[in-house]
Amino acid sequence: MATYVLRRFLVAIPVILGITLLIYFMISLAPGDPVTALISPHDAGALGSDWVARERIRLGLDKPWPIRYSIWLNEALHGNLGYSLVTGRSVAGEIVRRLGPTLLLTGTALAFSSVASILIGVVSAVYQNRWVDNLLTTVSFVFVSVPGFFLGLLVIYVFALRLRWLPTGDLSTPGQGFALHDLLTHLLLPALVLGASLTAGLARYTRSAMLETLSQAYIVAARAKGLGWPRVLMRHALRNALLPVITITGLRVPLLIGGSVIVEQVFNWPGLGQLGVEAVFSRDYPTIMALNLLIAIAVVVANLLTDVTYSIVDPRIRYD
Amino acid sequence: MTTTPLSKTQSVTETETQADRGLSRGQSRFLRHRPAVIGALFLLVLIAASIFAPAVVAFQPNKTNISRRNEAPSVQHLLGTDGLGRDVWARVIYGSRISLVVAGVSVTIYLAIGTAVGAVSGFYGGTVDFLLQRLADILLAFPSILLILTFVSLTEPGIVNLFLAIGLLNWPSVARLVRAEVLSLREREYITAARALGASNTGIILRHILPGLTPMLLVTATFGVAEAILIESSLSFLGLGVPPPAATWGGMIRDAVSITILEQRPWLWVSPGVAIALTVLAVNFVGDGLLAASGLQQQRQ
Repeated sequence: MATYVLRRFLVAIPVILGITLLIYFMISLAPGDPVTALISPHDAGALGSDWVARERIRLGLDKPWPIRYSIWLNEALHGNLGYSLVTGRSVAGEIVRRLGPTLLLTGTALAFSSVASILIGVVSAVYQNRWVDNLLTTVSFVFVSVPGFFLGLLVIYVFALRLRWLPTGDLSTPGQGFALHDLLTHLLLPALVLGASLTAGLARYTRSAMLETLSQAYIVAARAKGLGWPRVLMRHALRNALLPVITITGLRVPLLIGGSVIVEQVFNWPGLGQLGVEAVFSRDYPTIMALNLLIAIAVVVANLLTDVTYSIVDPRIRYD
Repeated sequence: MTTTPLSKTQSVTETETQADRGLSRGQSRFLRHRPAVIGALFLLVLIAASIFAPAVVAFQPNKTNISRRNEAPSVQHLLGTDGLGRDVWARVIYGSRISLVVAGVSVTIYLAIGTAVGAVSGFYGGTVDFLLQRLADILLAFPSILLILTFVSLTEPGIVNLFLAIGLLNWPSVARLVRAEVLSLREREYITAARALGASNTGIILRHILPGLTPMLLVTATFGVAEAILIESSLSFLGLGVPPPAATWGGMIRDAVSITILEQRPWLWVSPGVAIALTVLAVNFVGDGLLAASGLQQQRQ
């Protein structure tokens, strides 16, 4: 098992390097450069092209991109992700500050959609092709078709502006100290919106996995033995049906990260997604690189965790 | 979600009757998939409306009218007017052009790349296959919206860059599907027969392998269009799509993000939002119908 995990991790390294190389290459193709982007055209005139050239050398922008990439990589491996071109602050520090809110948001959304999709999937499978199943299927289709930002605005309109039950956004009420209740009320809407489309997709998989399991001979045997339906459903069918669902959930992590970019924007949630959009707008390359690196690692680790979980819950699977 | 069929379709085969004579089995299955038929009709109407937009709307999408700002929906302005007095109905109809064109073109691009890469990879194998698959791994391991965001941020905003951003970064999943199919088809006897008759590799791929992939590609493309519309509108919402004053659905919603507008002038953001949702839903329904019609769903599950 340990060898397997180690081997998988070693295989993942080229993928992670490949992603950073790709992004770095894309950035190197971009027209314009950070120096001219940082100062207004008026200042550029006043400071002169000499100053711009010197600044480019100071920032190392005069070197060809493969060399800049290797410098970046070397520093990143030593824990230095560079400094934001906009704020001048350490990128690593900024990421650490934003990591908490994002993990809280995505974690809650993932937990919510896991539970909800299993419930919906089981109900759909048990009542296959009846009205409950058809209704849930249609609702799932609607939820994968509504864009996250529109769903976000809809729930803000209903629950924050009309009913006034929940806040419209932010991490906490401005001017107040930390309070758990306050945090939870702010978390509820964004987590539900982020989890919604994920739930819709996962529920379909749970449903078909459940249907597949329910047609197995051992289910018939368990029923024939005289076991009650709820017991067969929960102990015999669901536990086996969840195996493929675990894989699919792991594969959805990139989707979750992508969705959080939009949801954080709509709810003004101070996380990594918002940082990413800000960085993209200001062409803050060190921040863009660091975020992409972080997400690449997160996705690879999520895939690895999925495989490991799979081998734990399904003893038939051996990785050595 | 993209591959899961509607439950109703699974019993369709059993209900096929004599009345279906004259249609192929696929066509009759599709026509029996009611959501797919409704979705297809909706899309036909939408495409017609976007092509003949000047005939469908009474106002120019960018025509401002200071004396008629922020009007609620009325007979004259079906969906009201925005803060510059522009007709929202006109902007929704014209906005469909950008969503449909971006989705159509970018999906065509990545379908072409994915098919070519997958066919070459699966047919030739070896080093070419290994390198292409590792490149696919890299792109697949990544949340596409983020890669697209990075790409879009680096280029000047515009419709061509949306084609490229969505088109150049999404081919790996198509390549995977095609490669797997080609691997299984490659060893069939009819391929060996074609080779014995002197057919070239390119000829075999184009004439004997790709036609067999058409149903799968059609289904993939349809779900791809739904996703591309969502990506395009998300980018426009973030301010990274086709720049104003062009009317885009995502952009219209972006313009409406303020507590005052959200609360007091819902027609400004609900209209484009519903337009996106209905269009994507229609495309997904059609995709589901095609999946049922192609008989692929068992394989794909």
